[in-house]
Amino acid sequence: MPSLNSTDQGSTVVSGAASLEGRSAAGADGIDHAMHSMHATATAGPVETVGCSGGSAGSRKDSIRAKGAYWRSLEEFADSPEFREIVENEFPSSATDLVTGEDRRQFIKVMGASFALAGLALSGCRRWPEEKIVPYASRPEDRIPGETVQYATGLEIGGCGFAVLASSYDGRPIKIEGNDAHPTSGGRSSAIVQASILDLYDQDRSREVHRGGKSGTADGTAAGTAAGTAAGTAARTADGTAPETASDWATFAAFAVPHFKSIGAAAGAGLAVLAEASASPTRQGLRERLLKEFPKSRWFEFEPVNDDAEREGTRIALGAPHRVHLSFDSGAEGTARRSAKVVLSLDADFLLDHPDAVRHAREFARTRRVATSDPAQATMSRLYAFDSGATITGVASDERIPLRSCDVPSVAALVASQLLAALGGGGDATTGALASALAGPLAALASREIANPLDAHGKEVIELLVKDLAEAKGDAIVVAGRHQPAEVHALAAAMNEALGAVGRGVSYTAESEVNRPSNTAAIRAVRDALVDGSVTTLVVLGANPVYTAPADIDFTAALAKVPTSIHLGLYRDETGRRCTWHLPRPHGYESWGDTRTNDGTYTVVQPLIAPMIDDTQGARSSIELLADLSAWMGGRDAAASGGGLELVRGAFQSMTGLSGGDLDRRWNEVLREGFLAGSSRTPAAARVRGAETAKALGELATGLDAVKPAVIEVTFRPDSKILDGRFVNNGWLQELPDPVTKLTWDNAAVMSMGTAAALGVKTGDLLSVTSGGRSLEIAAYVLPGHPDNTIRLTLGYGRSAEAGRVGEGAGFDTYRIRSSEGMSWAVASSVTKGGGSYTLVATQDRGAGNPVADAGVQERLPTLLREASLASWKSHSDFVKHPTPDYHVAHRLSLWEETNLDGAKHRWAMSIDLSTCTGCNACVIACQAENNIPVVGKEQVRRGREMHWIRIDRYFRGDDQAHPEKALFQPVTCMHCENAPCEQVCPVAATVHDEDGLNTMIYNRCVGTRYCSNNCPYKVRRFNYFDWHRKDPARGQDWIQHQPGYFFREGADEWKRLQFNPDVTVRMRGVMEKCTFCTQRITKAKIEAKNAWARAGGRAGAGTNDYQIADGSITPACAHACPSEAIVFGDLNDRNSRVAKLHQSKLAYEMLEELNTKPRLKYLARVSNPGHEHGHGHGHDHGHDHGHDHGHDHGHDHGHDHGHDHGAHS
Amino acid sequence: MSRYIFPKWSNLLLPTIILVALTAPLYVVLMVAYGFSPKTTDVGYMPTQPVPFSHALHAGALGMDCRYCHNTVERSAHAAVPPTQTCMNCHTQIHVASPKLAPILESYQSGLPVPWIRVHDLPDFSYFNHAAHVNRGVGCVSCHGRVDQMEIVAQSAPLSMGWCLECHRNPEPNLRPVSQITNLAWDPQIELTRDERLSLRELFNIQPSQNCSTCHR
Repeated sequence: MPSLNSTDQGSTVVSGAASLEGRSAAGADGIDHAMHSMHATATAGPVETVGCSGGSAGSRKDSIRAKGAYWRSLEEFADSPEFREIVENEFPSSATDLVTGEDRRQFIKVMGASFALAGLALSGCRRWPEEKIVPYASRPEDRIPGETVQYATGLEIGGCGFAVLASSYDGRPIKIEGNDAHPTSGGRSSAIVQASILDLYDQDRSREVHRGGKSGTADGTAAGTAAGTAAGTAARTADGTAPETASDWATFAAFAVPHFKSIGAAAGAGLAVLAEASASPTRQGLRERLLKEFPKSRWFEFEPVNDDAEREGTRIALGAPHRVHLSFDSGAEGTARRSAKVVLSLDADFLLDHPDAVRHAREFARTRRVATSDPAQATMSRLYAFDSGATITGVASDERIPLRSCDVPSVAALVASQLLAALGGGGDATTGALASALAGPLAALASREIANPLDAHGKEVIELLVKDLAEAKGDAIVVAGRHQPAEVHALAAAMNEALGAVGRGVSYTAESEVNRPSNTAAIRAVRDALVDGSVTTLVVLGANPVYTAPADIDFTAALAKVPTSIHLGLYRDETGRRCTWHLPRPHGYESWGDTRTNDGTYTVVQPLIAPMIDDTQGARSSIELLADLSAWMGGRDAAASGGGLELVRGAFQSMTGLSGGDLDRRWNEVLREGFLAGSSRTPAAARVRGAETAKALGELATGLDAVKPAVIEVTFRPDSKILDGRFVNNGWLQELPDPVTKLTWDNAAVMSMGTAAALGVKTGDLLSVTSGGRSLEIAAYVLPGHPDNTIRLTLGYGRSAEAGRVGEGAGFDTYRIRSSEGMSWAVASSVTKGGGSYTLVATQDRGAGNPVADAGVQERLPTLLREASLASWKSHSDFVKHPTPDYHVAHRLSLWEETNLDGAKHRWAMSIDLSTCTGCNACVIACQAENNIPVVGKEQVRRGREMHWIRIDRYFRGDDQAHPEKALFQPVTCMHCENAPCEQVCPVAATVHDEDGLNTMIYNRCVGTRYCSNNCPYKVRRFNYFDWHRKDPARGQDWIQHQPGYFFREGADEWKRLQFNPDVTVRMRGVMEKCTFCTQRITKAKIEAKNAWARAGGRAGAGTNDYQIADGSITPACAHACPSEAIVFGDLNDRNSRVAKLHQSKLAYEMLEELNTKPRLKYLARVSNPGHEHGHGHGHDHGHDHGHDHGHDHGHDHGHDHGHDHGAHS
Repeated sequence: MSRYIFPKWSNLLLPTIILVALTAPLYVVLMVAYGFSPKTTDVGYMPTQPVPFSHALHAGALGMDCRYCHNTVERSAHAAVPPTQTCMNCHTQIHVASPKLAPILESYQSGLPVPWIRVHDLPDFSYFNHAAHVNRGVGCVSCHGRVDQMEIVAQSAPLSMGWCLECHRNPEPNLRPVSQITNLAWDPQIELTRDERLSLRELFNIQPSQNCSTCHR
């Protein structure tokens, strides 16, 4: 595999595995460079002309290679001294000598020599250009080139941390995994955590200090006089953007030092800091010191998506703000195990939209896993979900009730009142008191008319729900959704207390800052302060309020009023462009910091690489900038406070109280492990206050009375992939299909079929949605199963070029109609069909809504995705063999001679448990990161050319399209069929079968006939129609399919290349690719095991054998990331391996087994636990007849008996 | 009549043309097969390195073990080219003023690495792991030749897929005890009997993979 590759003497360009194109004839390098210059950035010089003064400093060859200038001949390219001499003598006095015979021979000899020196003659006409090996000058100890090293670090998203392990290759991080020792991540991660690595290598990241109109004056005067203010305001362009002037840190410091000194002299008057939320103890310490030393300065924090409702709700119910922690399964075994039996989700997407989602998925999966259980004794939890949109928690639930978000409190109240009545009758005094206190308000709420009224089935579900909760008591959990109003959180707290779940499935930890204002109040306060002039200097740390602030708070206008505004951000985004100064911020993986995970565990954030921002541009992280500010304000030397590391260590010291050697030891331990064990917050005892809760619920009831059932509401939710917009420029996340809607590259107004019919729209039609006096034009997306009269709007899209090249133009800006009164939901005063349509691209249902196609899917679905309820599994434990009444697998005959895999040492196989897979997409991004899978762009996804090696299919089950019974997820990867249809048809044998059972893909042999993909019944093979890595920007596509730059770029984006995994080939145009079961990880484990065995003496012989590979030592990227542990990989030859046991499970089945492909990937049928059977009793007709008929009929009766055998079955 | 008299030699023209037409394609094919074969294009590749390091001196005359410099070969896929620091282990005191060492000293002082030119190179779509071979009895000389006799390193084996498969299909002639891995003068064909070589194969249970995915990822 390639090592560091240099194409220029002086600089090094690190390339990962180079593309196949690099292997063309010698000289291709030069040509590419020449082409590259046409695409040159502003920093490249003009094309050099050949001629006199060839002997300038630096050889001609260097300048050709460096600047991508043209070269006209091989001699020029070779640039030998002889050539230079000749060039210098271009017009020699004795020019005529050149044409005489003797000198001509001399000339030819010299030219031949110059070829040789260029490495083209004696060195052999090599097949490929010269490559360099560039070792260290001084190699760090224990660093082995070519091996990855893992470092523990953390990632902070939206104010909450996540502990990760970053794999560093040659000094740069290329892959992120969860930290397996940490209690929250447990080694697993989410799609966003996996994709975070790409942001580090984003070319559109801010890397320069920028200065705007006003106080960035050269003489560094302090914040504006009236004249300065006027001049500054005038200097801004019409949309409020300051004119762009690149600058540097020194200029900023020259301005900032005196500026802040004068602010400090006034005890901080005029300074306001608006920061994003952060759980960093270091930042908190710096903030406290700043506010203490300069009491007149002000600090605000704003996050557009936050947990204010939970804070306020617990404050109402418990008296002080708390954080709610859920525990679905304690993890212990046997009698010590505590596992939730019933979970009620009140519009809570706790499997995805929650800081602890990864832990929730893992624990929840434990309550659902029945594959290895004896059906007679299997138990599962039951999840009831009130769902106001398309969430994976709704899909994972056993009973789902679609409701408008504003109706959830009503149905919750209905359940609560019945539950409290049921529990109160048990004689518990406090429950009785609670029940009576809440009775009135609950009744008021429950009696409201709702938009999706409960039908008979719905009422049954509610009855069953109450019954289940009352029975389960302490083993039940009620979860309130993050975006539900505070009162619902208070209600949930009351229900949990009545159930006795507190201290078991639910626990509270007290929030330390009791009086912190809500995010909405904070942004309003900032705006007011900016408008009334009390703030003369605004420092924005990481937040993007110009884009994310509520629409009724016109932050842009307020920002224009402040004389000095300084923005520190990862991107020069909307806010950065409107502040007078913008400072580039290093990414979390490039800077020192710390954070706390949701449970309070202290987690260190250590840099994996030096900031990819030039030193002259500052590259200050937010804690470093804060320290600088404090120093400047106090008139101290900023350098004295040290950099990020000193600050974090200082905070660590004050937190632990250690010193000297003890401190060093502990610090090193924490650095190695990634977190401080035992630092999680202790649960607090808290009791629900009935009176206050009742009062709040009463007020809610009054407030909701105005919202009639016919009213259409709009709900605002963080997007499942780009959250509040922070990841909008991340190509992987843009192309990732949303878990339920399967939309890529855009957001849409998601609505039900009923609502769409009422509005007269279909998917893709543009709508005009008006709320609170503001309107938004957005495309509609119709989703079966979505509740009526509510439109789900996701945040973060609709940005301009300010967001980056990938994010530009994606989707619609829903912040525009999000007001501070309705941050989670609002009444839409009008929703009308607008003119025109918009192309929405989803990876599923490309022929959506077609009744014929849908009927076909419904017919085949039972065999593809086999499922049953727990009850029917218990009574018919082999339902998997008979998914439909007439299911019949013919003789397993092959058209060709089957591969013989007997005697292989390993039999690699995988199983995917459909009962635990939540469809969260972590596996998709993990695979993309591990295997260098490209992003293809919206237009190509529209043509079905997305390159994800693993995809998650989403099906709806039910005959009524508008109200499907349920939605189902099924991850699909290459099945590595033992009898692979793809292998049989490849004309060049580019895909062959390994002894170990892997279906391998040999990229250099592939000629691109695509016959293999044609023949694959699972359609898991992906073709590189273009050189995807070269297409950039991925989003913009014109009718000629690629930009002119496509021809001139040399391979992938230079930055993105840094992320490539060097152990996996980077594929080029014309080559087929597919899942390889992460063959690089398999081979790595095998080699390590073999070497260890050989070094220990080896000795194969009778009895003992060979190297052994322990089960679990090989985990493909998808299995490694899956938070529910649904994907299991291993060796079938190892009878004790998990995968071997799972393949033996009664629930195991092969997809499309009737085609006799003999896949090595088996699915474990989905078992759910609804309260009662829906529709057609799926399981029960199947059991009896099949057993004995199968045996003898197959032999001879095949042809004509089919007719009546089938009759007998039903 | 004199118009139709051709020179005598034109009698041979047609037979010559026929002969050439029949043999020329064969000739072209052979030239291509020979000329483009890795045996021609790669064997003997001897690029001039930025530093005139002589293996013949260090590994040969001085007898330094390969692993002193290429020290990751038993643990990693790469037998890494040593960092400048390894050279300076000795050369802070030996031949310090030698002009041949100037680039090394410069690299050590400036911290910038020495840009060696890669001699043994495989295409980027293939994977080779040194540790897997070196730990189980394949000596350095089997693939790299007598490096301890080379002033300038040259490629001595074609390193083509076919060449690799020759050994993978029949590994015994190339197996040696692990203690002799870096002994370039030691030839298993001479030093061991066939039975001894077979027993080496059994010792480490060498069943070289012929699966495509072993090298093609």
